[in-house]
Amino acid sequence: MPEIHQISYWSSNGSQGDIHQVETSILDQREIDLWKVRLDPWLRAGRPPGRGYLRFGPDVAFLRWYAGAATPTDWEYALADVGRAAELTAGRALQLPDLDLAMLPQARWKVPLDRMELGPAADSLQARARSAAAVSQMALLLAHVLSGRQRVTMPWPGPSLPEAVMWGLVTILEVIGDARRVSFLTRTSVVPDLDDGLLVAFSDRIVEPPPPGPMFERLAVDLAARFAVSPAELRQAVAAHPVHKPADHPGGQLGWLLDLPPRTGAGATISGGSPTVTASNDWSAPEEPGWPDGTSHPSTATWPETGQDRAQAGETDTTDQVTCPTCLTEIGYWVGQDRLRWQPAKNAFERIIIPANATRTERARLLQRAYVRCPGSDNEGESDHYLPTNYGDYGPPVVLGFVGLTKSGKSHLLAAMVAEMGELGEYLIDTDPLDPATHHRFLDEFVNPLKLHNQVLPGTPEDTSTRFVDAFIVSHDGGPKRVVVLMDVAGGDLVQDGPGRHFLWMASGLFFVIDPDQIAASRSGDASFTNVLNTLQSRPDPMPVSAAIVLTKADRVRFAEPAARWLRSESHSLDPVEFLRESADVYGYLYENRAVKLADPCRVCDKATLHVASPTGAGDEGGRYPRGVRPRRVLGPLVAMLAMTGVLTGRDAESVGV
Amino acid sequence: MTDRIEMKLQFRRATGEQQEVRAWVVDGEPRAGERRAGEFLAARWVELDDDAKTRLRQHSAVPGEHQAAGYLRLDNEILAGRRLHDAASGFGGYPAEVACLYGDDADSASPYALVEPYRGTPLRQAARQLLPDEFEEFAASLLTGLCWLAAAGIASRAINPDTVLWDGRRRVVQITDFSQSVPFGAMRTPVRGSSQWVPGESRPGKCVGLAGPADDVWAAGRLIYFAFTQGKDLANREQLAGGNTGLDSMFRGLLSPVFSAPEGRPTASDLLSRGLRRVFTGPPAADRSTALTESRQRFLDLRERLRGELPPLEVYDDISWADESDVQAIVDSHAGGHGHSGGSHGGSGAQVPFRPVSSPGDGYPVADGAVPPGPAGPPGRLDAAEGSGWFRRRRGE
Repeated sequence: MPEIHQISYWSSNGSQGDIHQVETSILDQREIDLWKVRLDPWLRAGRPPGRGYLRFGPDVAFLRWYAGAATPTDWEYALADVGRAAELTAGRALQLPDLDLAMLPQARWKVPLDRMELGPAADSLQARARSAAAVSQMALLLAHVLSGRQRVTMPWPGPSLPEAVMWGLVTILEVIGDARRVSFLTRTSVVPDLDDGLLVAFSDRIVEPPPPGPMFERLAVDLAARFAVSPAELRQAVAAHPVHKPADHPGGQLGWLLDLPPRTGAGATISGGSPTVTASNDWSAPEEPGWPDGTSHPSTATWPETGQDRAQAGETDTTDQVTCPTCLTEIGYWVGQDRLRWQPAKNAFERIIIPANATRTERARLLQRAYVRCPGSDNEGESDHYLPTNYGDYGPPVVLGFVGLTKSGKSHLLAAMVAEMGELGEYLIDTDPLDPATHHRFLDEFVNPLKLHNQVLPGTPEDTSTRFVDAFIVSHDGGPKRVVVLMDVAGGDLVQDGPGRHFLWMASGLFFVIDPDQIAASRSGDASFTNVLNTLQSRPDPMPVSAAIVLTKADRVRFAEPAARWLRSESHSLDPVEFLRESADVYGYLYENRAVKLADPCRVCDKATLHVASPTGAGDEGGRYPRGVRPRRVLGPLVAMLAMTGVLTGRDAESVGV
Repeated sequence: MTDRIEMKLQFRRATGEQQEVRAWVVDGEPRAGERRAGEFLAARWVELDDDAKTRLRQHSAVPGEHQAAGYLRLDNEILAGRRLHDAASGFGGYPAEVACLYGDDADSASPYALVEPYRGTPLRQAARQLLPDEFEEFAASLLTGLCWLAAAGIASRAINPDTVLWDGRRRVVQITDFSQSVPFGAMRTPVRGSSQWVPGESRPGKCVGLAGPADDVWAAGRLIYFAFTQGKDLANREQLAGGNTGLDSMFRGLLSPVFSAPEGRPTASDLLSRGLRRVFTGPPAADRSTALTESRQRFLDLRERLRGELPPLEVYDDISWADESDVQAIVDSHAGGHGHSGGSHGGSGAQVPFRPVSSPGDGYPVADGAVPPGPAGPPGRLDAAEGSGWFRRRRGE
């Protein structure tokens, strides 16, 4: 039988003192001890008259703090309701009747365990939640939550209001299908760490949360206004939406909320004449949304043009959620993220402000070289990292990585591919750098030293960081555009477990690079291949992954088959027959050299091809390529990969790969 | 001989062993053909400081704008030379009919090839002195040289009166200049030069398909006519069968098909054995690509296991340079067996829709050997036997 237990605590000196358990309905001492350990930091963090709702996996605790005569600003007694989250939801917990403080000392703090029904407080809570003051707070908080932030700290607005705001927030999240685990402290001075889920805290200390993206604000205002008018109507509007998709991920899958049916009336009056909310669903509309208190919020006075605007113009296929290839953070509501520009003079990024009346041309100009800061930068162990503003403008990006042992030739192959990309026009493939700054940096640091100055490139640093090397907007024969990202990882990092391999969990395609000089040592397998394939096989999502196995540095074996044949074969057509022949030849080469284990990606990946390539055309001497650098057949693996990952379209493209 | 520049050479002998030897650059009056080493390549004489005072041609890339192209040409010479040595080993010594690579330094900053002195006079000069009773020896020797190239799996793609020498004293041909050669199975790349000596399938803008033993036969056929007529170019096919020459009958009807599309051409071995009733005593024509046939088959087996819906592979059990259509069929079968129906070819070839075809539109002879009218020229003109369209799917079909 599901149960909700209660535990009462007493502290000799509030949050600073020793905390003692007074009474509990739990019989199992181990469970009592467990809750004591779990709740200790939270008990110390809370302040009366606050409430705490804390998720610990399937378990939950609802805390209430009570001041004592000797500690008017700190707590003396605290009460914890603990149980399963399915039984003790946040909404239910907030509506529980409060305790009769006068009776508790007489009862020696033996709390009335049978009082779990909703009490009169429920009605007052719901009414307060729809007040102008609460809706204003709720909209701001909701904007942060929709933006994907997992930790939001708001200033404490005074008694009662935080609980009302939280009740409104959890109601809205439940209505839109956001299944995140929500925890909160309605009054606190410090915010302890929580393993997962969303944590909202209202702090006594002065906090100024960074502004959420303006688009999040607009969406949050709209939802809060709908809630204020009628939670039931909000629920009906969401349920009736034809593409109703639960937002079961932080900030994810929100695009459909943009076109909820219009609310009845352009502005909803809240609580009988309180401020009007005029949020609009038309993101390109020049009108500014009002704020619940009747003022214009500073951050909504201007907003950037985003992919959403371009999507509405039919130019892009903006996705509402992208996954950061560096840290795997899923960035919800991409189009509403703040756009930033690097300011060299300030040595910092700065938010881009675009006047509301800016023309499309002006907006495009202002958004050139803009970036979005990945929210995962805040995670422990991550450093700041940014994605180009148009990263999510062309549907889910195609992330491609290079796999191979140290000095196998990954960086040279990658640099040669980028150097030769101009030739892709022969295949009717158009490419444009996604971010000119990133592209030129890669040209300066890798492509030009190799191609123009004939220099041997240094190996990829083994600094456990995945390198977002370059990215391109690619289209085939006038078809849809896709973003293709090229990632490079040090060979050593691929052999070890570490953040450098994060992108493997989301890669669409991998180039498995084989150095013919290392084949003899790799007959039983390549450690980097094995580790990567293990990761691929552990991926929980059924996202397909393709493999292009590349016998690189083929100039070293250019007088032997199959390099002799294929290095002399220059083709610029998308020909699945050619790819099949080449694949069979390279597989044969590996088999003849007793290194067929290196072809394992064929078995693990959804599609695979095998290739011969020479990124430099000849060998090096003294750190240079004395004969010059003449890449040969480096585009073949890339073209095959683009075909296998669906970037290229048509029957020929579909036929590429085994 | 005016100057001797001393140097040290480190190179790989064509037979595989490494050699380091003192040598001298020898400058001297070149004879006709001696200087020539192929496009983008230069030749000079060197003399090794060995017991025999071996004198060799040293080929290297011409510095400057086309040096990179020169490196590739040099690689071609080295590959052909090494393969010819491999093919000749165990068959009574290196054949006189093909130029002989002595050694190479393929991987240094300044690569070079060492080639034994050519023997003979370019046919452009020698043809005028070729005696009637020497002609059949010339033709048989030329075809023998091509048989050796086929044994090595190499297409010269440079058979012409300047690269083919005639040694009247030994009554033997020597095929030289492998700078444009490719291994069988490689995609054809454009060959620059006179259309008199470059077959349609290798001409710039029309290059298509994979190199094979038929590639050199077209130019060899023209060279046979050139030698037979003591320096005249073949203008049309009737000249082969006409009473003036009787060349076609000399080759028992096999010479005319030489000027058809590659897949319809006889091989050099056919011309030699069935045409001239001579026996080639070297190794059989090597399909070098089939060296990997077994392991390739394993790949196709793997592919079938991964894609269980494929048809039985015994249908496609020989994926060699000449069987692209079969590979195409495999691809088509995976893709559903439709789309590339080849309907315009008039056949039922849904399974193998891109089999080599001869159609008037291709400009290649139909089955009876007649040259059909085509856009490239009037009926009967050899130039009409140009075009493309076999072995490859054309975009839009």
